[in-house]
Amino acid sequence: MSFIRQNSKLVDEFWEKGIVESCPIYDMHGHMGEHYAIYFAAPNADEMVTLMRRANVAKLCFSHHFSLWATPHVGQAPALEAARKYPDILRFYCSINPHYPDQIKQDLAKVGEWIPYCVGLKFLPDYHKIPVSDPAYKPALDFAEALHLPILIHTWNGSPYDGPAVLRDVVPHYPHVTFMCAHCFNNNWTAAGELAKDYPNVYIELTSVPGTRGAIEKMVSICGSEKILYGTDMPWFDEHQGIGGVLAADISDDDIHNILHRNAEKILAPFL
Amino acid sequence: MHFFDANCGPYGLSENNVPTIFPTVKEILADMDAAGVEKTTLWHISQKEMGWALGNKLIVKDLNENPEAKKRISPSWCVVPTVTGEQGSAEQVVKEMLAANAGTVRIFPEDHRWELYPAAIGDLFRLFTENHIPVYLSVKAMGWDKIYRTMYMFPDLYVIICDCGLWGPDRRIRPLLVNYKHTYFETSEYWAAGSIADTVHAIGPDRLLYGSGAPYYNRGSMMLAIQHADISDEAKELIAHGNLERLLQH
Repeated sequence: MSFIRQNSKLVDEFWEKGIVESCPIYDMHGHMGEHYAIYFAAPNADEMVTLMRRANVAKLCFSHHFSLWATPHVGQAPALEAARKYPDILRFYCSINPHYPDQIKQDLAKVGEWIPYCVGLKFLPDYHKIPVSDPAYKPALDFAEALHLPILIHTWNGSPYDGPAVLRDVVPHYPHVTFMCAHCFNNNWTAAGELAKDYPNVYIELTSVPGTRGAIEKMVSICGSEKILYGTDMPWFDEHQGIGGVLAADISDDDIHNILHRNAEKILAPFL
Repeated sequence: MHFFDANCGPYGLSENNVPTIFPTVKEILADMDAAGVEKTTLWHISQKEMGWALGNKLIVKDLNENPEAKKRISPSWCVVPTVTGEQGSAEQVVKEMLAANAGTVRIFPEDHRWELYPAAIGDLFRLFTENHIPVYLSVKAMGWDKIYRTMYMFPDLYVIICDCGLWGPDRRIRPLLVNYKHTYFETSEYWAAGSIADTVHAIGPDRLLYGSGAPYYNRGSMMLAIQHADISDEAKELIAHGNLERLLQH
């Protein structure tokens, strides 16, 4: 008898070793640094990298908590510093806080020189309480469109800031942006799958989803595993918990490869 | 390595016929086999929705009719305060639950309209403590404040804190683990990076229990997290099954 799921060599290998060389992990949604609302066992780059190496994480693309919430105080400096320290594994998103337009302008002007440490932008509309469709986000969206950059956007079902309807308004105007919808509009898996199916430049990202029974299967059935990215919110959630949740889903080993690394490898190719 | 799931349920058909993947114990056993889980605790949706009398009866009946389920599933027993006389004396309640091989207790104070204070439940909790019978306290259902008050009033009670929420609960759970020696904690929503190893290194491996959160969650995600946590093999065995087995030897 196997553990997690029967009749999968890939699952068995992950179980035995914790890592599978042919299936590296691309975690497209991470953070870093302390957060007021939670105790983290591994909040900083050194501890995070140690944990991620245990799970064969090839790349973690992250936004620093301080850059998201204490934007005017630190800008993107903590993220850039960490990515430069661990260039083999860490890449960062330039955090966009729409309440600080001057900071956005300053940061976007430097993104070019931050590449390849910087791989795109990060929006957190539900927390910043400004819809993605608001003019405050337009400079960042226009910038990403011009440079063909990915944007990781926190998305949540029913949100007036980043729910499915808001993204459907925004996406058609930016065909060269790779939209990565974090949390797959938790928990509207149908809306997530349909948006990813309808637009070639939309991917859905799994943070907080693996482990939830039936969610991954549902989205794979709608948009295919080619449009789904793996993520953990690291250090919020554990790599092996997330990987275990993907392995437990009733999908093929080929689907698992797509989700855990192949799709991300394509998106990140210009930055690797 | 084998796994004994400390947080599975409910199963059974609900009053609103909400779709469930576990309408009977057969589906639970199939799901356990698919994930490689050997044993589980379990409660029936009717224990909450229809009350202790029918709910306890249904789960006992289901297990008695399925020898394999009886071997692999440890039922939880639903109780209410004895003062109304509906469930008999505290001694009778404990006698009946032990006769039914129920190893743990599930309570639903909000739904069943009673209060978690000594005046209401003190006699039962005293007997549960004397007999080392653990009571589930669900964070999702009760909130942390009520759990803290319960532990303050019943400091020696054996409890399994479950459904802790996905935002790392360490600032809330660790004080309970440190101050109340019979507090246990299941892992179904304990997802924070490196948290299992961190807790084991801080307070030891004896108080964590593998829990899946099935049917809402699948069983495999926390199995892999335990299997590859940065702790000893002995600690993994305790969390996967050993602690719960020890806890149920009452």
